Amino acid sequence: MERRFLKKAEDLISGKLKKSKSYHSDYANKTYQEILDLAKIGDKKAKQMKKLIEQVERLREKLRGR
Amino acid sequence: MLQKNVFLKNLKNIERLLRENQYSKALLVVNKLLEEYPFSTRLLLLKGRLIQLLDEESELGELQDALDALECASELDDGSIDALNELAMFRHVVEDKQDEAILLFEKSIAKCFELLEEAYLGKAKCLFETDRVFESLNCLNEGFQIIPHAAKLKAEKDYILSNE
Repeated sequence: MERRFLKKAEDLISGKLKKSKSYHSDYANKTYQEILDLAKIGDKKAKQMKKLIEQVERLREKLRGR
Repeated sequence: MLQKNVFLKNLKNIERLLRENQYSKALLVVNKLLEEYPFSTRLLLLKGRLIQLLDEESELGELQDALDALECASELDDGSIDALNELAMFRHVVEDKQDEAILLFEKSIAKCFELLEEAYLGKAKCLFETDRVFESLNCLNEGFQIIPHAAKLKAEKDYILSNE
């Protein structure tokens, strides 16, 4: 399994995005894989945390490419 | 006003910092340039993106500043797909405002189609003008597959066929 899936959500989401209403601190210690699994079964908080993790990845990629 | 070469040098510096994941330093340069060019869509987009990646305690900007920058970029360059998409992603992810995000994505998709139609039309015209009729029609047909209701492509195809 890729290492990032084992990382905690709080380590994958940047500080400023933790101030977003999509961030749920009670999910901060869940791993990315746990978040994905919960999102898959419709857990709303997990879905929002997943979006934040993906946003960080997307922005980094975008900024590197410019 | 900064000279073009100084501006470009600063942009290169930003690119280097971004490659090194030095977001705070890059944002400092962006902010400095924005003092000279407050209405640069490119700089505003960078600002909007960079703020989201800052550490929580950073004083370089908050999410509201990121939103302001993205809204400003989108207003200034109404045709910028990049600006529309970035603002839409912010609404979708950060604000969790799906309906507003959908409207922005729809606008972006419409712009993309407009630009694609223009590109297919231009290429088809060039091919036709250089007597590559078959290729020109192929180009238009390819455009139709993506944009089935492209009126300008249809008009051009009719024109080409009427000349043959």
